[in-house]
Amino acid sequence: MGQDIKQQRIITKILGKPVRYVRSLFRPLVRERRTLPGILSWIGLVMLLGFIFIGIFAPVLVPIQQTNALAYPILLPPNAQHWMGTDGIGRDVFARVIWGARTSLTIMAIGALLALIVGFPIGLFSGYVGGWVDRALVLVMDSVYAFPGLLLAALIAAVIGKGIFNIGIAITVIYIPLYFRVTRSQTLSTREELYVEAARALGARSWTIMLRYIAFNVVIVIPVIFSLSAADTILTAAGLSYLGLGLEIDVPGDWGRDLSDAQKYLGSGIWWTSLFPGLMIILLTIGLSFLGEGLSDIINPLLRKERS
Amino acid sequence: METFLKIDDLSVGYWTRRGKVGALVGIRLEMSEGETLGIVGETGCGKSTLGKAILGILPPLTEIQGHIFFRGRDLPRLGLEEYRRLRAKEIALIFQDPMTRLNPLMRIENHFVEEILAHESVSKAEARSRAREALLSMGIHESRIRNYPHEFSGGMRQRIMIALALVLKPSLLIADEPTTSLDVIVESQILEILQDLKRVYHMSLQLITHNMGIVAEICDRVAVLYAGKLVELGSAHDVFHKPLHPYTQGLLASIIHLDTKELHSIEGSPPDLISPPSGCRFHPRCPYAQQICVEKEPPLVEFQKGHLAACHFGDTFL
Amino acid sequence: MIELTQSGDTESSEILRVENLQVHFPVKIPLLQRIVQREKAVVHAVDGVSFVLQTGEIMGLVGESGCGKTTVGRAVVRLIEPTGGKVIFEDRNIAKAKGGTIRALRREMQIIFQDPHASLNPAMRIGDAIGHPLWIHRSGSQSRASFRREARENVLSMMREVGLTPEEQLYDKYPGDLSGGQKQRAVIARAIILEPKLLVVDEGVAMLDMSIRAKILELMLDLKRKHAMTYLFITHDLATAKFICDRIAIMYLGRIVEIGPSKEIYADPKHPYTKALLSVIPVPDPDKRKEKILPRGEVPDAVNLPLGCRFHPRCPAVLSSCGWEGRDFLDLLDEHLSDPKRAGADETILGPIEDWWAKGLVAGRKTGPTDAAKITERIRAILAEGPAAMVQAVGTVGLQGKNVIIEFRGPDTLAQTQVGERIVECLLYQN
Repeated sequence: MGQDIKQQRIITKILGKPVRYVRSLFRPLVRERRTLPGILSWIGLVMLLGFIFIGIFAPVLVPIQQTNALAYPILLPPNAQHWMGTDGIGRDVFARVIWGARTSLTIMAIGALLALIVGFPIGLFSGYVGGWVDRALVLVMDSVYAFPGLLLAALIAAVIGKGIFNIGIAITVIYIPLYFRVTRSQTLSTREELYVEAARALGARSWTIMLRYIAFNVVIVIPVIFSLSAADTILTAAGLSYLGLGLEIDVPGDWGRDLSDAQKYLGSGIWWTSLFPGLMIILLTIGLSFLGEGLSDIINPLLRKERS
Repeated sequence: METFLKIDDLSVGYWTRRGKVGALVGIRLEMSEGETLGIVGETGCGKSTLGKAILGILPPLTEIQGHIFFRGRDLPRLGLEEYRRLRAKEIALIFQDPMTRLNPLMRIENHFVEEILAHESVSKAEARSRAREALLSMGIHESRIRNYPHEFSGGMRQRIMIALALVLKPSLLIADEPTTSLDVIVESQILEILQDLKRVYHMSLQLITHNMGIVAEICDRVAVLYAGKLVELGSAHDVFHKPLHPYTQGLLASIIHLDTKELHSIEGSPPDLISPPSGCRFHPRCPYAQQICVEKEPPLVEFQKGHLAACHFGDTFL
Repeated sequence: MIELTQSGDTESSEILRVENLQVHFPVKIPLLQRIVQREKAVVHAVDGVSFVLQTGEIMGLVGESGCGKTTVGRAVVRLIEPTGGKVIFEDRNIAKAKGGTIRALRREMQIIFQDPHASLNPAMRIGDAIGHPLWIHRSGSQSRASFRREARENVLSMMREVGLTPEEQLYDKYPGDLSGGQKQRAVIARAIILEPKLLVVDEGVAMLDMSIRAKILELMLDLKRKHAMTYLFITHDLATAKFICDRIAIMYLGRIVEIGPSKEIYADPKHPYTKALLSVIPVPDPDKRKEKILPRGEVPDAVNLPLGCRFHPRCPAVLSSCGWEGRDFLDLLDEHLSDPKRAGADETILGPIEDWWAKGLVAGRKTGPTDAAKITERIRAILAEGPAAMVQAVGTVGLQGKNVIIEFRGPDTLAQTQVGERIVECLLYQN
């Protein structure tokens, strides 16, 4: 028994703060599992996890060779060997679609996560400190935010070149302002709460207040924003690929690219090359949106309840 | 001659994640025209729910069982449009925080005009002049009628809310904690206004509050609620001087007033309304609780003329 | 300033001395307006407050909302920086202290706020919240592990003391799981875990149900005895203040109008405002509905203060020398014109209220010489509707240049007078 507690303590020490943040985020999900928003969130979460599973185990599910050009006869309709048919250069659509999940999720991870890691602390700091620092940051962020996302991403991609990592960076830049804004506005309102003043009355230093008192309470809304912006990320990435600005041609899976390539065959009644990649984009986006919207409905009443 | 207001076996419940909350259970209450009835209890006893139930403004999906007879009409059974016409015209409600009633983006004048025109087909000019009259009766100069709510002080906003409630001359005014957020002097002014209005308009007033002091000031009769049940009902004199229910006794004893010599409180805390205690809901906190209190729920018994209490041992306190 | 000390008591000493405390907040007005306006508009939240707190006593600061009592409390614990005056805590003036000094002070003076539901960080467990002050003020010498153990023990023992039991279970709960009374106990525990000498209680029980107020008050009294603390008890509830406070100070619009031993003040209130406050406290007995002295109108805003005694426009016992000024006449005129029964033809004779101006002791309006006589006559008639003291304070009424004016005689200077064991600031008691 003592051993377990010791192990638990060590894990808590190492993982410490991140675990506590994550735990405080998951509590509401578990509590609300029977309500409609809760169900929605869980569906979304399951879908997301499904995609993540596919993404991670892509090499196991589908050997990469199946995505090589001219591996198979071209433009075969769906049949027993090729569940989703083959495309214009002889690749198995199913294989493309599975590997595409990996690509999209990687971009999403880089893009949305990086944006969160950068945007959240800046927003927190800006909101707490106020003054001209805050005003300057808001000016910068609002300018970036005002730019049409896809256009800006395309610009950046054109400048720094193609590749998964670069696309990730381009997307990060677009989404940082979103995290900044949301975090900042939450910080502004939390800053005025009585318990923050009480913390000052106890003699707590600014950093302590910012991290323990404000950050923990502000981070509640992040999962919502993350899910919704991640959904957006997928669409933006697909859009970039569709425009030909995204990734190199030889990437094993690229939904947007596939959609773009499939366009020319639509007239001839070849539907499988566009339907399946498109469907994947939709499903992942829906899953993320469900998660985001569901969480949003759960979190909002919580925020309101805290005031009562 | 039908009773002005008769609440018959009213139960109100709503569902939450953990189960059904019985906010009100089996309330039986009567009110005659022109009287001031005080409804008292602590937080969560259901008194606000009662006021909202009468007005029919409970959130959707709330279960209402029983009857609320207002001048013979059973309110929960009214159609939506009929109920809407009743509100403000015959039964009006004022809240603790005037800002929940007043739209910060609307001038005061328009609050009145909108309300009047929703119920009566008069010209806008006529509505405006009635608005001016109503404000004047509250001591607010008509030059301020074009102001926005935030340009008034708390006490004035409360007066505006009262004026709004009364502009259609309802016969029943329900006041839910009308003075809780106000200072004592303004509170007295508002109470004075309420009493004047009662006299002038022969209005009936239902005062919902946890402040026993103001109940003693202006109420004719008092109803005490605990955990959704009515535990005592009687004239103000009877309830204050000879409380028959231990909860009422505890409440009265814990009031801190100018002549308080000792501090008293009631042990424990209000029960969970999803799974309330068996038998008498107050038994876990009652200093006189016996076995029967745990097993059997006490009925509401008239121990004295006009004085009822729900306690197995009510007569011992006579 | 007249000193107020407990006579013949050599044991107790002063723990807090506030001298002429002033806290003014700037009024937020748009830039253009600020350039145009000559004077700087400020909210005189606290305008010259002085009192002494003896070690071990409970002093009540009583008044309605807006009187400045909360601001005094916050200024005393230096959550706000005073704009003037001295706050002497144990022989040190902390009014202008900064950063590090203030943080060190937090070990010795603490404050409890009004709303228990909002005072606790919803993301922090109760045990952590109560122990947080220990963490903030810890000395660097101790190892983390031993500190954690000690802190936990400290917190658990504190929780037992304030009645937050079973403490082991409640330690890990979040504020959302606690009742109002429990939250307030947690707040109290957090405030006194460092054993401060002075505790400012800002409406500590106002938001709790009556049936648990007594328990929390008893707890506070208990803790005070055990830990030898001094309380500054801020409240608007005179009944509670009477029960718990040794001395009280009644505040109105940023100043103390009456201060002294609470028994004496309650038995025999001197200042008209104190009398009014006491008369409106509801008595929980329907058979004893008493006569109330309700002051006229409402508390004026703290930006443009009334002249002379701040209470004069509302005072039921007002004298002619209390500070009548132009604005008071305009208020009277406004009232008169708003009442259709009294206004009559005055709307046309005197014109709308917007045409009138008031500056200091004078009020008036522009007019041609022809109407002057009529206006003068109406002014006198309207004055008769007001308090007699107001009429007596009038100096001149008549035409002056292009205006018809009414000018009041200036007020007598208000000073603090000792009446019995207390101090009152009112002309009624000056010589």
